[in-house]
Amino acid sequence: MKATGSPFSGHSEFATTHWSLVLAAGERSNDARASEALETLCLIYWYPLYAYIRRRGYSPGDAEDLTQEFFARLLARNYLARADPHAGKFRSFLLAGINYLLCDERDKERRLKRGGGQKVIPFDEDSAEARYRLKPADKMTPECVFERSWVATLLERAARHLREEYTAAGKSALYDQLTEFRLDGQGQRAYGEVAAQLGQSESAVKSAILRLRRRHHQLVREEIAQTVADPSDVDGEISYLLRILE
Amino acid sequence: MNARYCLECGSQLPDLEIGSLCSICALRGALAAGVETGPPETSGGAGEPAAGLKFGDYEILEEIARGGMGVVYRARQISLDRVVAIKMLLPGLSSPEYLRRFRIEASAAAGLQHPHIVSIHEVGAWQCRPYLAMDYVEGPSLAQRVADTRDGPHDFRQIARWVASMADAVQHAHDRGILHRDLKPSNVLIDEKDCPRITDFGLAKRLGDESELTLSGHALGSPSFMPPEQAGSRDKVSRRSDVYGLGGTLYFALTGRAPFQGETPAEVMHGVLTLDPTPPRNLDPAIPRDLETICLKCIEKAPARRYASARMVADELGRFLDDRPILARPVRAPEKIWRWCRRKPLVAGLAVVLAVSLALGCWFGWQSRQSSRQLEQEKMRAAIDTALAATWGGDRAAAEKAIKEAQRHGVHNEWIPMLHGQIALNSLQSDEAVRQFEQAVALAPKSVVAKAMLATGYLWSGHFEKYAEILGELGELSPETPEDYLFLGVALVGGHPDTAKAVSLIGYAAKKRPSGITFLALAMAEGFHAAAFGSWPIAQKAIEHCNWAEEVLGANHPGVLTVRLNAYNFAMRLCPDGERAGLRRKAAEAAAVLVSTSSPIGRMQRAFYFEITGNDTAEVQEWGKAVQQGGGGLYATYYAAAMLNRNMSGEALEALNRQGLASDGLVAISRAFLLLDKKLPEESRELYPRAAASERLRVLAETILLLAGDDLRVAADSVQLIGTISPQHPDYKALRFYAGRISAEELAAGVGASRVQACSTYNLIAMSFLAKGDRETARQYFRRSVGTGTHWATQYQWSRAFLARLEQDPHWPPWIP
Repeated sequence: MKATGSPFSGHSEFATTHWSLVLAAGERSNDARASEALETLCLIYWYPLYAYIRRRGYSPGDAEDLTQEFFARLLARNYLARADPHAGKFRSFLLAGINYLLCDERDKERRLKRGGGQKVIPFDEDSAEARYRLKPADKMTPECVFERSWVATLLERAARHLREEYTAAGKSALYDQLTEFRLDGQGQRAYGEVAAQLGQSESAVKSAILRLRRRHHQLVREEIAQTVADPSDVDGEISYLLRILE
Repeated sequence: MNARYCLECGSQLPDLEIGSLCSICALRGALAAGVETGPPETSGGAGEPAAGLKFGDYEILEEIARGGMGVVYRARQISLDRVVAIKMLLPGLSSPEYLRRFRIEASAAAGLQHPHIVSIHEVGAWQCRPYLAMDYVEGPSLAQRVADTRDGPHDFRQIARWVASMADAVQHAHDRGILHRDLKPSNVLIDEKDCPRITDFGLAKRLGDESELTLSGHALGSPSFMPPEQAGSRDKVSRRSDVYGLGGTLYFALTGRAPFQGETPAEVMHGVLTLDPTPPRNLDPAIPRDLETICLKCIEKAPARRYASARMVADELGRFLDDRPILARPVRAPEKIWRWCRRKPLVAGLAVVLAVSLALGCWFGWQSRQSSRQLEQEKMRAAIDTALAATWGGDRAAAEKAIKEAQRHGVHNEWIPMLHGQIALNSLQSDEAVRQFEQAVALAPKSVVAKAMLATGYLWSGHFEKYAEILGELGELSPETPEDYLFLGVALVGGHPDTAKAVSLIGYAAKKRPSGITFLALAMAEGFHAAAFGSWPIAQKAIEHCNWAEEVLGANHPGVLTVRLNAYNFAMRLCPDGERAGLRRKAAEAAAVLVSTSSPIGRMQRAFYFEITGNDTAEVQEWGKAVQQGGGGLYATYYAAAMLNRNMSGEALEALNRQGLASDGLVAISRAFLLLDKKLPEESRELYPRAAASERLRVLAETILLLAGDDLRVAADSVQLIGTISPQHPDYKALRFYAGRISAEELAAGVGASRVQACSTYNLIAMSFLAKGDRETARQYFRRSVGTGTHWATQYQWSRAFLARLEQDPHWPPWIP
């Protein structure tokens, strides 16, 4: 067995996922693993939520407040009763939850009471807004903005994870050489150059790329798995995400 | 650092420091990875059927093939004691909905009984896994068979018989309302009697989509045999999609390759959607002409232009086999007309070529009879072509006459201002050109040609924001006619970083409608493309297409002369050492002939020629004359840089003042640099607002402030600007550099394959080092910038001039410590 963390290590399909842990713990707020899992999920996926709220027409300041408010309540497990432990995806849960919050007539009043020992997800408001502004202002619905940001967030995480694995294995240079290409005069990838840099044959380079791609696929899968309640939902979720993009 | 491309489909990735796959490929791969691993809920299941296993009426004999979606077994059907094939889906793959539809479709296909279709006997399920029992065919697939016999002599009659049988089978299925949807050589088996048998009727797409995905675990199936309507265009899949599949299979059987090829599915898709297939006889002249004609008619892009039914394909092939004339008329490939022209060199011009093609009765498509209306249209087109050839050649009188002629033939109203605009553009009256083109757009707001010309006008007159805006609008119109493609491509030349796009657009126009001006435009676009990516083969193509243009337009056509020298100038920089002397000789001849014409464009090419061959004196003279002749801001910039290079900034300033080009952003930058050289940083700085007013020049304009010592303001401006643009914006990295977010090394490392981009990036870095007083590093980066050989880029010329000044005077510029 190779050490885990190596880019070439095998993988197992995740028996428990972040989201399944959270759902299993339900409203009990004293389950440390579940709390940690929930916090991890919130840390990863705050941006799609922020983008959604902004797209619903809230100002940057309100969007910040609402995002924080939502996570604060979520971490205090206020909404978890609403989540159906059998059919839940974190993605749909998040959207349903935020809509509930936005509809809540007393939200303003509650926002005033925020703070005081409640947990807050640290995020950089300036960077959130900057990121939001970078997106083209077209005719996307708020849901569409949310879903696209969601996909982008999780794919970026998987991509970073892949690179970290290579780096941890002391192979960051290999990663760079395999993933950055110069195109030659005919617009083809210059495999030969990479092979020369690495002192390997072209076919060795191609199989290294194959390994990298396979690992990348697996990491995307794992990333998605963390957001569904049951591992068997992964394929359905991927298909759903693909439809969003296509 | 180089650019990042998706390792699967080859699309360029957004500007991230990491990443190896695009979103779609990452997700598709993740989906496939699940299948490879086997979803957890099935791992404890009953496992795979092994040899000897009996279920239903079947006994498994052996596994014969395995894909990501299913496994194929050879099995014995016990009751009938016959060998069958069992195709079984892998467990746990798909949703119940998928399986339900699979069963419905399979049951429908199970009704097909035809000697050339692999029949489905039964649709069943074993341990919740659906399976199909079908004929067992012992024999290779057509794909395999063709590959095996590639080197031997081809039996074209046998190929015709095969495809005729297949067409018959397809018609049989169509009569029962079943489409195959994925006809291709690998879906056809050749049985022991040497007859074709089509497999996976109506199911191929359902099986194929996913199996291809998972078979390899990474690559999507090649869309080589997919009709355009399935590859992304909006047409609905119909019977004619299967006609396309028959044609694609025929093409493969005849030539041993798919109609469209490419390294990546994206490339193939591009071909399927936009390119004409190479005529089979170009690949193998032994292929009978009629088979080629039938084949190409099947794979027409527009379904309406294909045979209406599989029956018609079968009948046509039957006529071929009976040695009777087929019904379809060959499409004369543009290349053929072209070869004809080459055999009879003509100087008479385009109208003659058009007359010839009319006589052949084969211009534009299939129609065997030219209606009088079409004839009239051709005359109109010929008149337009003549007018364009005259304008591009700078012959104003001939152009005006041709416009009158076009008017007489009733060209659409918008063409009149468009043609007048072309005259103005080629006389370098770009403001007048813009006025004419705007009028054309007002007359025909949906006309791609008019908008494309307007874009070109804005580009030439230096209105870069408007240029970008119009290009954006053009993105929402779809080009249809060859003229649309031609002028869309022309609008990109010199203004757009995607040089390949310009080449492919114009190349498409040239194929659809070969003419002197399309070849001229093609040669020009290829020249820029070659130079931008340092490709000698592309530079050679540019020269070749110049020769073609010359055969049509004549050797003395000023446009030909100019574009020829343009091609030689690029080629001299890119050729292998052995070729350089010969090219230099030819370039010298071209430059000498060009002196007889007086256009600024011709002078520009001569000036470049003198620069490349090291004749700085002659270079400066040419630029001076071009500016005097009313060349706009671009010429003034080249002139200013060449003068600075020769340490003559005083004279240059005076000349620019005389020309009164003050409002031009490019000229403002030129003047600013010249003033810096005259030790007047404060005056130079005053020109900054004018230069920075143009978004396109913003980054370059900042160098004025930098060199005047105001680096803090540059940083502050940049921080502010970064927040307003996306990371994909061409200025994004440069601004991050100005803002101090990335180092010079990082910026330099991020340069992509484009030499133009490299040139300007190195220039920028050099300027900033110079501003900090690090003259040695500045010199190094100026050298790298000049080393790109992109002489038409203004920043190349500035790098060259600054480098020269630094070499002449080690303490230059004096106010920088």
